[in-house]
Amino acid sequence: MSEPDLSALRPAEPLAPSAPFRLTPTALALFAGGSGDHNELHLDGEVARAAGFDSVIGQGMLTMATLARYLTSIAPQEQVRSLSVRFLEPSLLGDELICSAVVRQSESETDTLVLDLAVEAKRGALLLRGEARLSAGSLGSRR
Amino acid sequence: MTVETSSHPLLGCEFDPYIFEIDKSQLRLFAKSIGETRPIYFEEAAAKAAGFRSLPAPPTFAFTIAMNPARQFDTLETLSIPIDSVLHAEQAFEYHGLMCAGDRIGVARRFTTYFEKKQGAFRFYVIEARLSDAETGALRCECRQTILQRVLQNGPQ
Repeated sequence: MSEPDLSALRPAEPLAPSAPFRLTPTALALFAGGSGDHNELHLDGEVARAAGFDSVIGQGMLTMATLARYLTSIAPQEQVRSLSVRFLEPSLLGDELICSAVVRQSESETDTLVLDLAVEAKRGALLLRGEARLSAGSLGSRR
Repeated sequence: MTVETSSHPLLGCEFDPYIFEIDKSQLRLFAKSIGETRPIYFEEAAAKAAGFRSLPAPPTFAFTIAMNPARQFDTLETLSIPIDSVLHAEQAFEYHGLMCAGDRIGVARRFTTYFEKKQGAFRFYVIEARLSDAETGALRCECRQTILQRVLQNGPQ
């Protein structure tokens, strides 16, 4: 995916949303291994039901990682200066996550772009809201 | 919702420090698990061709680094929070430099903020982690995690 020209973006401008990412049981299990978060709430239906959920819920950090992957398709990773999110409701098995971004602010003097971010599940649930700061000047060398 | 209480006997405590060694295989598994497909996250040759010193750790891998590999839930254990009562409420990262495979990252974590809502039914704990290069001490990333503990007010569910 080619990166858009950040300097051409203006406030209130929405960026193209991400392709959907589906939360299958395998996806949750892989993320438990990959992230090192072995909380059984995301893996074992009995544990999830005991905690008051109908079934296992997705890892919040998997939703955030999906958002970060979207962000690094907008700008190279070394331009991402900050990323923060507020989790609004748990993701569910089978959810298809779609990330979106809108330009909130473009600071030409610091070459910084502030994006308002969201991740929604296709069933119509807003899972998280967040913001990121991208800097045209990179964090420094990749080396 | 207004904040009702902001004191906690352990507020300000530091958790055990440790060094996290960023491993190529774990980065590849992490990248695969988040649906990543770009070669710079999997193939060292591609990462180096793009100018990285090795495979870059994706942005939210910082959260994995901020979890103690020796005792994954040591923060919850120290604060006496049952794991089945918690939800991740907020997460923030400030990046100061890229982290890559082969890096040794020193991790310092502290319990910095506490507050309650809904007559104590919701307890919020903020844990901040500073991730620094273990060799040079250079700060790479600041992490801020807000944990929500749901407390049952009237006996067991």
